[in-house]
Amino acid sequence: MRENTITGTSNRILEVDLERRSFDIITISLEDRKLYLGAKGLGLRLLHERLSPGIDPLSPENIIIFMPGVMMGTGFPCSNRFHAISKSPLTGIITTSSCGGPFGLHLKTGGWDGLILKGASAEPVWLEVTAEGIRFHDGHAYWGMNTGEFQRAMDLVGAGEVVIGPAGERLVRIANIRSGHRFLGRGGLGAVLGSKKVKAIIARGGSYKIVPSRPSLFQKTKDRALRYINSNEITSYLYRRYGTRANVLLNNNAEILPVRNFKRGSDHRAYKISGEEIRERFFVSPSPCAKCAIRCGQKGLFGGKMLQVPEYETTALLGSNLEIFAPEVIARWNHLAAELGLDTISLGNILGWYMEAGEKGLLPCEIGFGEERGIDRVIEDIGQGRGIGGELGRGVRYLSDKYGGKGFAMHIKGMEMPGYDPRGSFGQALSYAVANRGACHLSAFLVAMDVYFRFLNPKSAWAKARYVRFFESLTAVINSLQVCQFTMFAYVLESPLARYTPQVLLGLFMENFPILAIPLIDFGLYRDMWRAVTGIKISRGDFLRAGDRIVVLERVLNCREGISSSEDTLPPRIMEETEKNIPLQSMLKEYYHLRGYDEKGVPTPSTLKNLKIT
Amino acid sequence: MKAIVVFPGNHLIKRVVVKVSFFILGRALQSASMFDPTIRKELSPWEDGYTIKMEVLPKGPVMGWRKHKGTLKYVGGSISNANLEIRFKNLTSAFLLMTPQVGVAQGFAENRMSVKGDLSHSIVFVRILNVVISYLYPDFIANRLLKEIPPLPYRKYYRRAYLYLIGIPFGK
Amino acid sequence: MLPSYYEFFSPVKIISGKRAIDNLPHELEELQAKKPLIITDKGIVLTGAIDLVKSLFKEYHREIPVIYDDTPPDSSTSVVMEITDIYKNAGCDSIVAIGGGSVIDTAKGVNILVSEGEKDLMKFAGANILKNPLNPLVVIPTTSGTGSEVTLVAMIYNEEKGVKMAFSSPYLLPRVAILDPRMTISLPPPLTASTAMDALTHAIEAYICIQKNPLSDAYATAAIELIRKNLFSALQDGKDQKARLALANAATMAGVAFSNSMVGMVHSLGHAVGGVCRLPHGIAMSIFLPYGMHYNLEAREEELARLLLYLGGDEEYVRTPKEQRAERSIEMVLEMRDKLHTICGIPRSLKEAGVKEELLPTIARYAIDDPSILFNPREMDFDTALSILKNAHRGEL
Repeated sequence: MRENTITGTSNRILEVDLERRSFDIITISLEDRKLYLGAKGLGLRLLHERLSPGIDPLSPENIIIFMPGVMMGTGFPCSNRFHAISKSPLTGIITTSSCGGPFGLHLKTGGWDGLILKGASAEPVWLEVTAEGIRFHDGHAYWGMNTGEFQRAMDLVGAGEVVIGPAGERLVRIANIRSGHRFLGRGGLGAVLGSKKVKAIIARGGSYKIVPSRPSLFQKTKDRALRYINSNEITSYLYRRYGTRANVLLNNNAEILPVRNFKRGSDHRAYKISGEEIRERFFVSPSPCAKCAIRCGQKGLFGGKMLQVPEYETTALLGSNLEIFAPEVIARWNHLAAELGLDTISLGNILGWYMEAGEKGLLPCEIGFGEERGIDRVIEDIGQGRGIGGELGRGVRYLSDKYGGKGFAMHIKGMEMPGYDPRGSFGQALSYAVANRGACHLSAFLVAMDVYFRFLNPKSAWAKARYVRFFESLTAVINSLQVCQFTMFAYVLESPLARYTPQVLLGLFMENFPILAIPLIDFGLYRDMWRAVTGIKISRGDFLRAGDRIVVLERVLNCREGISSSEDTLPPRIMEETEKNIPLQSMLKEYYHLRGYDEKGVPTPSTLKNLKIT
Repeated sequence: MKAIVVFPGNHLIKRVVVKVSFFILGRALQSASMFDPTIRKELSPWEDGYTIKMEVLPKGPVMGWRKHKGTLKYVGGSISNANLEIRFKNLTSAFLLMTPQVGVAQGFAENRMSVKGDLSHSIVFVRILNVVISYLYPDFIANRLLKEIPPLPYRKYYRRAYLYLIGIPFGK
Repeated sequence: MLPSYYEFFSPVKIISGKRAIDNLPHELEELQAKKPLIITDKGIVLTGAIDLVKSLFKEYHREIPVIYDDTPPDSSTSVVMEITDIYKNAGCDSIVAIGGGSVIDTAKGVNILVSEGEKDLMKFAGANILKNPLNPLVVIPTTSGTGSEVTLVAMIYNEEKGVKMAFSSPYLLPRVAILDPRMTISLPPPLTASTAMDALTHAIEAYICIQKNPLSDAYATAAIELIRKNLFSALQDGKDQKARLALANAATMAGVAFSNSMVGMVHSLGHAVGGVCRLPHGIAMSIFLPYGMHYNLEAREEELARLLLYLGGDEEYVRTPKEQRAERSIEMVLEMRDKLHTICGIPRSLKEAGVKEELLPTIARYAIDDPSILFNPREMDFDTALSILKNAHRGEL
């Protein structure tokens, strides 16, 4: 019988020194907890206190932090996500990444609220997180294994792991970290662990039960949350039935599907890789994150093997972006990338760039658009960092700097572009340009506003800056609680005001009166869940300001690494090869003003003071 | 003995009713194909430019749709050859189906229409029509027309209102 | 209960009995068919049936007709075009089809092209497209059977699109169908059983689908009774001419029934499985029939209850209380399948038939798009189709 309980947070964070093989236990002040909430926010704060600017991300000076939030382990719907924060070897700026794998749950129920890794081990190790602290194990036997092999080799019953594959070990800049069947995908965090010679971290949980501070409010909020999720068309129908691949047809119809290295926005063959088609052909069954009420994860039978069905991004970037429309092939590459530990978004972009560069004769290339031949080999090479793969794995910014072809290198700040073409959604264009980790669609998912719900005019700059600012902050809050971002569709849209107002009216109101509309957006459910679990009172304004704070703090860290308005751009293909020009500069100007940055995009001292960022 | 002469009846009213209901159905399908995910999914395998035509023989009202970017655009009477053509044998048959007295499947069973084109596409089209019919008509009417009401739990009444107020009149 | 409106059309002259084929030359003359083209396949030639026909013509002092015996087991557009050319070059003016379902369908397809003088069969794809009568067509079925000798549909495989296209029109109906027991005597037990199940399915589905009418019901129930009474005799002794003739009649009657009242989900599932895994039609029908009856039970309980009279006999009907009759009908079919499985190994589940489980979603996709699903009493969507297929795979109801 487990007597030990944790309310909200155990407030014990493991700070590990890999060189000395020692660890400390640190705590967070209540003030910091109220300011930064947890997960992403708190992780950034801890990184801010420890990380010096200008260091090499693959050196021992880099620090990587794993943090779940207060919601982890409470059993609240869609609460099984945790964060990792570090400096990215791909972009050279801060990368935060979110994951639905089992590591976060076991870390928290093992009694820990976070894990900080400093320095580097001289020899390959794997770490075990126990109730007492960290135990170091020799990792030589496992070094070289791919992620699936490692998972099978270890006893993972009652435990959750993060593990890197050969890509991380070889310091491939787009390497990711795997946990269960989910990933900390972007920014090359796998290489950070690889540089620290940490093969994996296994946490054994179950020692503590996480209980809410106010059980009756918790139950009420949970019921309301489930009701919203089950009555929203996206979360309970589209994503549940078709996974994130429900976006394929939506994007194809709106012409924002990446096709042929983002040359075009749609293709008549897109239905072959749509969620609808895959569900009906590949014997699909659910494979969700733990405690998820949406259940968008799926697995299916591809070529006789049970594999994870590729997520939307993978389907777009390794599929339509390369003009491949066969789901079995994409599933195979997805599996390969998972085993090697490679980010599929960056991988798809790199392959697309490579094919186009080969067509234009910039460098020898044996793979081409629309042909699957040879690509398996290239992916293997990238994962193992050998041959041309060694170069390709460094990202399209490096490749285009070296070989030319900047005109079709699809990246922002070094991070490759996800599967939404911003030429079809100006709101998303701004969101990409200012997103703190580079080209990121999760920073503020304006495609929903512009395209899916048609609340805003997609080809207009009007009011976009306000919405980008708002959703960036709200998303930052959600990522710091932490719950799954997809809940936003349900919690924000199912509230009575949004639900019963006709879409046309709502759209007109939101587009023309953003200053009035934005304060009416109801995210009360998030505040309720925070209060129910931690018992800490926080006003609506403070809650949203926490989101502002987190976004600005991330920006501060980036500016320390040299980011300014000249990096808040869009790739040349987006700016030049477009029917209607994207008025990026005017949107940026408005955005900077709203955020309290100067014209160079750097947060002003008064902004920092107002947000209490020290 | 005097011969009894039977004058041809006045079909003008029937013709007008069919024409108007063609328009309503055309616009309703166009609008529904924009917001209903079931219809969108059924349409996805068809290529852009796929046309469907509904016509009343011999010289009756004609209307059709063309697939454009995942939705069906109503093209009214200006449609000649189509990939899929549904022909009502006579004005009465069209009248019975359009004023909802006879359901679609029932209409086929009573041999009231002929179909030119791939019959499996016609089945997809019937499914799409089922969805539109369940939006257009309240349940007690739709129950008579369809074998089973397709599951449409999301905002059905709201969408029905949208169809009547905005979709059909304005074509959005 | 009469339907408020229906149409029934069956103009085919049916000649059934001992030595019925001997009438062929005379029938052709009545149709003013001077130069028939005989379409058949190599299997039929081997049975000696074609030699028999040739000798008949000689006896009647007519020249030997042109013979095409290369019809493959699945009719396709290219074969139809090939035969059309032969027909035109030889100056034929009528067709005699001797064979099973695919031969007859091919013959119907050829008849369309030669009568309309066209080259592209796809122009006529659909229902009720043909506008003019076609040249005379006489059919002598050699299986009992698909009933194609009296139906207005033809399913022909379109190689370009890779799917079977449906053609349906009253003008496709043959003028004469000749049922001669000599044609089916050599049918081995497995084929006898599977084609009989095909006929049984036609009859049962015709009785419960939405286009049913009193005339088609009469044919359907008569067919079911004949099959019940004669199938196992024919299986025991293949040379029992009476039983063979009875089964041939049953198949034809079932054909008339479903030509006028259409079929439903059993055929949708069967066509889909046939298309994806090449499972023979009769076996697919045998596997899916109970599932079709069970799924439609909700909407057609009364009709299925009535069928017990024909599926089980009058004693069984009276013995079973009213509320249980519909389910007893399904049980009768299940018992029949079990017996067939024991006697000649007809598979009772998709697994036994060798269908791989991972193909089921693809099969479900095709099944819900099959034209016959329109006439089924209940709707069938993808999830339902998939769960029925999964049950049929395991063999549980």
